[in-house]
Amino acid sequence: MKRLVYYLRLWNGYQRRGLIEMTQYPADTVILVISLILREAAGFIGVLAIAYAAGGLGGWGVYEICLMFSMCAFIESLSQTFFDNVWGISHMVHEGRMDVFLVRPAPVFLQVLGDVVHYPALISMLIYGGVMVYALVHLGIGFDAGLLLFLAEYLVCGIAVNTGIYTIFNCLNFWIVQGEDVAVLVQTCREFAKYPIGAFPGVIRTVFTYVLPFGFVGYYPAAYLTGKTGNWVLAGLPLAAVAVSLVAAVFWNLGSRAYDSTGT
Amino acid sequence: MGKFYCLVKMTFLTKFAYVKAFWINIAGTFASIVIYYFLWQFVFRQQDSLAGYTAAQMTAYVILSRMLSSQFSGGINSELSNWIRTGKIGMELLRPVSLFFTLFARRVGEFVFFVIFKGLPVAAVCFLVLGGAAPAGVWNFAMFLVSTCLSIGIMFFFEFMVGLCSFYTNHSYSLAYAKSSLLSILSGGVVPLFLFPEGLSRVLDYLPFAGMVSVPVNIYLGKYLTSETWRFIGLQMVWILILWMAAYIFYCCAIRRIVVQGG
Amino acid sequence: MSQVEVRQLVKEYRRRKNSQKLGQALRSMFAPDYEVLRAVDCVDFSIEAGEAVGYVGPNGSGKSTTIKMLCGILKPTAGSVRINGLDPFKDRVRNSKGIGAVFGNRSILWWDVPVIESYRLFQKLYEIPEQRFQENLEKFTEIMGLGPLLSIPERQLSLGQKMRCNIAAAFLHDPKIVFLDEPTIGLDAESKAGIREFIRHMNVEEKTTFIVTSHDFQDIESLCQRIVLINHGKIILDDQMQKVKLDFNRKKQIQFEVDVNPWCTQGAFAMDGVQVSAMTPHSLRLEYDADTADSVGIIEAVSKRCEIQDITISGRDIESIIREILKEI
Repeated sequence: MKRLVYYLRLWNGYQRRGLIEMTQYPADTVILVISLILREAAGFIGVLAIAYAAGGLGGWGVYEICLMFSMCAFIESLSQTFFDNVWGISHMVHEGRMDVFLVRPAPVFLQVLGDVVHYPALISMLIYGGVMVYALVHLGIGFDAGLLLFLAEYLVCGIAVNTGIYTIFNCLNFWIVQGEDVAVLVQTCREFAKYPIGAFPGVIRTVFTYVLPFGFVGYYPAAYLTGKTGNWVLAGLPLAAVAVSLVAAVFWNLGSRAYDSTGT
Repeated sequence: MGKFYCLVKMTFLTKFAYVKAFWINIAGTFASIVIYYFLWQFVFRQQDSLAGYTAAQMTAYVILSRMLSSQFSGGINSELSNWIRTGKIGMELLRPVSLFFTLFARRVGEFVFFVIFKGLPVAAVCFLVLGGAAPAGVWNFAMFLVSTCLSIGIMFFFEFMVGLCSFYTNHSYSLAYAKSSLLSILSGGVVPLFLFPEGLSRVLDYLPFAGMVSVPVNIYLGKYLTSETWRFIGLQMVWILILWMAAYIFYCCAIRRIVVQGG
Repeated sequence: MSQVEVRQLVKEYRRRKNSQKLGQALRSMFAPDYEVLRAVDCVDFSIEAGEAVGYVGPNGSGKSTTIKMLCGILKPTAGSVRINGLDPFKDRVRNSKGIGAVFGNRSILWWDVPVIESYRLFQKLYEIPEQRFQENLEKFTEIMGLGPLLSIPERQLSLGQKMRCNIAAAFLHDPKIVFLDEPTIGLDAESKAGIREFIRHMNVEEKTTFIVTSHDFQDIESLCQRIVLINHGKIILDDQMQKVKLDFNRKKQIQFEVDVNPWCTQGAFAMDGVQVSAMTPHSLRLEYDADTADSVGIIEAVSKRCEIQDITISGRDIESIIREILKEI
């Protein structure tokens, strides 16, 4: 309990720092929001164009694809807001900045996350939230307590899966020095989450359900909401979240052990 | 020329130092080819051709366009941002060669490495396994090569300008990301430009973005008449010149900020 | 038990061999070559509470690597480290509450926020009680003149100001031991003096233990009672500063300014254990061994032959002593 209070206080302190930092660079806020929107929009436009040309994709209509994309993007913007610095691991390892975290009496992972907070990403989150509601309304999905509960579960588990996978990949940077390529690989893999996985052959489907469960960030929850798959998703989400978090923790621990601070 | 060769070779050799990262890079490109391959396979299950593209041609399109898109970040803007952020730019400016020259040589080094170790092997594997269409003819293939080289020129200036933006912002990483996303939509890297609404796709054809992916790939597939091919290649060159000038002007404006900052 | 105990400490790095030859570079894509580098080699020492130790050695001698193992940043390849009885790597969190660290080339503050906000975050990180925090802040502000800096973001501070803020930050939580890795690197003389003053104050008044690495021997000389010299990962000297100076300061120099130098025209200066190192018609520089000759005798001998106008006697500073030791090995 005492630990928890300590963590919460610390988190609070880091958030405060993040807010102060944001006020220092107003122009960057705009750039960040635009870049976030463009990032998601690229894939979105691609799949919409394909869906229009082919008249739907694997039984998914345009609004259903919209729903899936906005859900994915919603999670991504939240990850961007609070967990973005897992992408900074490569940089920190490369420049030996991890040293500074390691001499402080708090969990290093918490310090890494706290170091970067992007409040502007919440703006893009609102936009995607709007798209999500729009898609839900068009699909005739009623807003009731059940939906809200499911969305809450999805939010927590989705973030855990998303951030967990990012962490796993970024931990590779402890062994590989020069990280941009890792980022490209993860982002590409995440693309799979944004398309109807049903369109892919069994092997790939299996990979994105069991190995890198990106499917739980977009495809399965959206499929559940639109009635394309059963109630197992309700149990699958937390399972995937826990599993990914555990693996991420193992990778992080192994990685920080392998850390050899470069520089002087 | 000797200097240029040296710089190219240096980049080429440094690439070897990061071999593990390179394997991951290949895996990334491969994964993105696979995604779009299967999406299109799905589409072509219901129809034989789409706007004149057969399934095999679309596969070739996917392989080549993804490969070229992976070159949107040739490390130039991240390097330049890095220099600006750490102040190393001052050192680079002291060298007796221009910044353009150094960075362009690096870009060429990247590109040569890309062609030999990624372009050729991955393309070969993908074409054999996934079954992409062969080039429309020897002439098309030759022109495809020419056009690809030109596309690297266009990419370079975009990268250069995005890198220069670091003088004005801390978020060079998100900017670089936005660049890649924007370029991949507008250049036809995600989906062929003809899928966009008629008017829009015609406009896009003539913008510099198309010159990066759409033009070389369409030449390869023989989608253009001979006269059109020449026109598009000419257009690529014109864009290179325009972007060169734009980059130069931007550079002159941005470089003034160093003096101010360094005071 | 001593506050710091280091036993048979070893750290090895694996480094990839990079080739400038194309053929080898190609081969290394599939089977990279590695070489093992022993940065720290069987290092032993212990430090008592309240000591101030200078840890010196040339670049790449393994200083920073040792410090990093003491801080718990790096895992030793072999051997053991105990800080206040704790293993710094395994008990990282507990250990870090009792230590402070300053890296001359790396800031421990947050770049974009006012310094005071960084301090506030430190207060949360180290769970410093509010009263203690205020007391310390007040004290440090006074000694190092931080007052006007606290409301400025770190990125806008000068190097010296940054370092002062960093050093104060490392002391906020009353650490028992503080590691200072190149604390005065790149600073001007005044900033250096201020920082030394503060460190000495903390050592004398608060009995804080220090380990300082520095290439500036004035830092070492003015701060430390004890010196540990490391080269190629091995400790080659570990002794009290005074004793090192005495032991190695056998050779002294004496310089005379005289009206007329008689030895310049007639014969050499002859005395046991004394050599002439330079002379002009109006000056004479002698080097002597403190074991066999003494300065009073030399001065007497010189004053018999001419009129002395000025005398300078100099021993060697610790820097040249260290340089000599390193050269001998």
